[in-house]
Amino acid sequence: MLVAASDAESRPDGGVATDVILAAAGDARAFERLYRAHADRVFSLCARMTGDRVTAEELTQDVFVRAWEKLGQFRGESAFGTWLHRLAVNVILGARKRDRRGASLISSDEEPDGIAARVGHQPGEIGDLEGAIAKLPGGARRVFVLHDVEGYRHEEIGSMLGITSGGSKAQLHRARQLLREALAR
Amino acid sequence: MTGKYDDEAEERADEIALQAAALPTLRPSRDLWPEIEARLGPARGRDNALGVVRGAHRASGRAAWSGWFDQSFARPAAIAAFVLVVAGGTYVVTRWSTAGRPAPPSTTAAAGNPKSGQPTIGMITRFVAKPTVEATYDQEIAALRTIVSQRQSKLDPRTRDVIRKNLAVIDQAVAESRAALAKDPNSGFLVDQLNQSLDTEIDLLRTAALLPTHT
Repeated sequence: MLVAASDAESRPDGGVATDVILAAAGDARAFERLYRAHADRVFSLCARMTGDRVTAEELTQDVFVRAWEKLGQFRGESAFGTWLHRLAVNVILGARKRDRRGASLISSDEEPDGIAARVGHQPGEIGDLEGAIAKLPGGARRVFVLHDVEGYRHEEIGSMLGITSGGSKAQLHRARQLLREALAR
Repeated sequence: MTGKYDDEAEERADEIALQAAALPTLRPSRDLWPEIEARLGPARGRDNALGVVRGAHRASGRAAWSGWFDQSFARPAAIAAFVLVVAGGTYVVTRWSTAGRPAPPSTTAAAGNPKSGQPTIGMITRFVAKPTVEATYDQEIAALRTIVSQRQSKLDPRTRDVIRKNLAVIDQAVAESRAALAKDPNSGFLVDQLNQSLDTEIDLLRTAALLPTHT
C-alpha cells in the first residue's frame, strides 16, 4: 500500500492516546512506547532537580514504575505528558522527603552540592549553565528548574514544595543571583 | 552607578532565564527500560481502568466533542453520523475518482511490465511505500479491536450494536479505498481517503475503548 508519509507521520497524537488506553489495560509494550516517548524529558527533570545523573536515573525508573501503577487513575483532564511530568515532580519531591530521614541522595535545601559536577554537561555556555544550576543549593535549584526551565508558576511551585509563592519568588531571585555570579567567574 | 549595575544584573538574570527555558533535553546514560520492566507488577485497578481514562481521548484535543459524546442518548447517533459522513464520503469520492477512466500509466510500463499496476522501486512520486506505516495502523487497530471486543459485554447493547454496524461501514470504506488504490496507485487523493478512513476507524475504536460501561 502507498501511504503518504507526511500524512501518516503527522497523526494528531502519534498514537499516544491509544498507547495510554492499551497501557491502562495492562499492555506493557504500549507502556514501553510511552516510556520511549517521554523518558528523556522525565530524566532531564530528575537530573536538574537533583543535580546528579545517577540519582536521576534511579528516579526516572521510579517515575515510570509509579506511572504504571497509577495509570488506571489517569483521568485525562490533561495530556498524558503533563500528567506524567507532574507525577515525576511528586516522585522527586517524595524521594527528597524520604531521604531527609535517612542518608541523603538528594541534596538538602541549604548546602551546595558536592555532587554537582556529576550532572554531566557539554562544554560551552549551555554546559556552563547546566553546571551552575547543578551547583545551586537544593531549594533554590528546585525552584529555578521548576520555574525557569519547566515553566511552572510560583503558585504551583509553592503548592508542590509546600512553601508560599512569595517564598518561591525569593528562592528564584536567589538562584538567579547565584547563577549570575557563577557564570561571571 | 548602582542603578546601572542593577539594570545590568537584571538584564543578565533575564538572559539566564531565557537560556534556562531553552536548555536541551538530557538523556540517561543507558536504556532504563529493562530495569523498569522488571519492576512492573501486575496492573492494579485495570479492570476499571478503561472507564477511568476516558479523558485520554479528550486530552488529545476533542474536549467539546467528547463532552457532548459522553451523553448516552447522543452517543449511538453521533457514532453513526460521524462514520456515515466519513465512510459515505469516501465511497462517493472513490467511485467518482476511479469510474470511467483508465488506470494511470505506471512507471512499471517504462520498466517493461505494462500489465502490472503495482508501483516499483524508483518511482518518482510524492508518496512513498511505507509498509511500516501500514503495519502501525494495522497493529493499532488490532490492539484496539481486542480491547473493544473484551469490553463488549460490559457496554450498553444499543451502543454495542451501533459500534458494530459502524465498524462494518468503515471496514467497507477501507476495503474500497484499498481496491481503488490497487487500480490507481499514484492517486494522492485515494491515499488521503484511505488514511482518513483508517484514522476514522482508530478514532471510533479509541472512543469505544473509553466508553463508560452500562450507561
